[in-house]
Amino acid sequence: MLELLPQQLVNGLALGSSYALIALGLTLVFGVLQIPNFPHGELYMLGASFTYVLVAYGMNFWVAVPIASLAVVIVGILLDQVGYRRIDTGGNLSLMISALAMSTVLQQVATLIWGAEPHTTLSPLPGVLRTAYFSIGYYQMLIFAATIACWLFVWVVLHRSRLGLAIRAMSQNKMAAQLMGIDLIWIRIATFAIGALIGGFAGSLLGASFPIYPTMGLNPVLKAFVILVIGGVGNLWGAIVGGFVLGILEILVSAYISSQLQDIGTFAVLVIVLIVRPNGLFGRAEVLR
Amino acid sequence: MKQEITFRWVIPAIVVLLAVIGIPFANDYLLYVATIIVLMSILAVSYDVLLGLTGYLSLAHGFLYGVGAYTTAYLTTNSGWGYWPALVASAVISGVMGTVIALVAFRTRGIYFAVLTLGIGLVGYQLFLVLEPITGGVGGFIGIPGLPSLPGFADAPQRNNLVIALLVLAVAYGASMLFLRSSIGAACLAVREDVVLAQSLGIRIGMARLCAFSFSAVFAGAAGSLFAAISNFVGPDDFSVMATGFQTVVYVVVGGMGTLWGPVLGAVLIVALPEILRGASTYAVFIYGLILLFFILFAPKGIAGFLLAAAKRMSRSGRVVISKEAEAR
Repeated sequence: MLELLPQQLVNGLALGSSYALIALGLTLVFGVLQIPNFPHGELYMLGASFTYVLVAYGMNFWVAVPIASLAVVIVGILLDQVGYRRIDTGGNLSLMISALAMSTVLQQVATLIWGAEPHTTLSPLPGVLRTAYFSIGYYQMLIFAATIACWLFVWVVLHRSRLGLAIRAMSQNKMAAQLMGIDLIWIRIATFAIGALIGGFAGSLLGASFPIYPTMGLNPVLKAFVILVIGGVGNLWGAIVGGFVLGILEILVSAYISSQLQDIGTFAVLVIVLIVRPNGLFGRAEVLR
Repeated sequence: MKQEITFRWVIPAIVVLLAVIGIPFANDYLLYVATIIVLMSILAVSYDVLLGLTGYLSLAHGFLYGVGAYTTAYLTTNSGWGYWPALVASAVISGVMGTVIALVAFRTRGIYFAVLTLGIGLVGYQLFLVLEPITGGVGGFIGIPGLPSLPGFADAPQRNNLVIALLVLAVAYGASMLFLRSSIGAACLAVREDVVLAQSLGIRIGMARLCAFSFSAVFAGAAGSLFAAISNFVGPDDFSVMATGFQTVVYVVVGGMGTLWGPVLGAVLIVALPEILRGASTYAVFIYGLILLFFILFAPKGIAGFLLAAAKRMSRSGRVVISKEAEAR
């Protein structure tokens, strides 16, 4: 049992990097705009589907990835403009319902276009690295690297650019940001664009290692919400760490306890964390009654 | 406000009228669709007590509905209970479960409350899959005994099902009305409008919202119990978060939150729509999502909001006519 532990940890890291990649875009939008962007899972699905279509038409996978990701950005901005902007002052309840509704609509549109049956793309980077303790696919290493790269990208944008300064100002205090001459509409669009870009990119890459179907985004987005709660909303580092923790936890539970309990373990963690720390593990302390 | 009170009685009256006229003549298909509508109305009305009165969005109610269904399935199929004791047991067990969930979930609020109940709903759904000795796992329960027949309906099981469902709906609606008009209902409204103000006025907000949650859980269990006996089959897929749990939110939002009669109209519209659109069944879920989006964006008060606005306009124009007549004299 225990000699397999290094392999299980590596598997956990591989699964965790895919979770972290999805959670990153979700936590950005949630942290800045306080929008529970459920259709983030559908953006992920669209990234995978667009890439699949482009590759099926004979395009090179590595060319298809950026094109598909940019196409998803347009969808992401549309989601915000259609579904969220009108009701931004309407409170959490309407935002959540609107998010769930758009999620359903996108899933159904995808079903109408591509059908409900799963598609698969060939992995563009086959081959496995074998060591004495574990083996890992090159493609999984690439996804791991891509996760870290995306995190760095978002961090640099947020902390080393004027746009990032404006985004952070908006997430702290909308009114004050506006008084400083920041155009909230454009900042909003930019935030959604970055979130959608990462979501589409995640789908585009992960579509090569998971089957592609219209509801493929549902489970990852639910996991991403768990990660958000574990890592703290709007906390980028928390999303990465939370993603890896969740990935390793799931693999360990399914390897050493029971594969049936994998999802129960995940959501039980969510429930326990929320009971102990109602605002998330690293969330701001706020007295709630 | 006055119109609202009128609608509270007009809508049930219309339902009763339709039932009395329709039940003797409808065919089995219509009866079945009507029964499902009534089941969903039971869920929607009782859920509105939580969502509409307190403003807390729970996504765990699909699980509670499932608890009711599985309890009845287990008790009537494996333990040989009669249906009526099983119905009561289902409602009670679901109510107890709901109370436990509520005690945990009300530590949070807003979006965290929704995410926490979502997590509970997901764990619950997985439990239905994993606890195979009790729930039958993926295969679920088959061969659940149907509803006992009421006197006079022994030879028409579909009619019998509809009448029993309507009776439970009447109980749910009446109880919800009583809840709304009780002091606890008033406290719930205070919780929805302003928690801090309610607290500082000495209202026991914890008690009020706990009661609302438990109340909705009891009727979710009862609806689940009816569902098990009517469909003779219970499988886990009906009780996933995105299935019945989310649909209930849709009924309440489309119908009109906080009105109690609105969610009944929402359930009628949303359940009947895919049946009407049967020819275009591939588009059904798509259209259903668009309707929800339309209502939350352009008509957040739902069908009830439309009706109330129309009624107000009619009564106002009526008053104008009267005053003009008075002037003419």
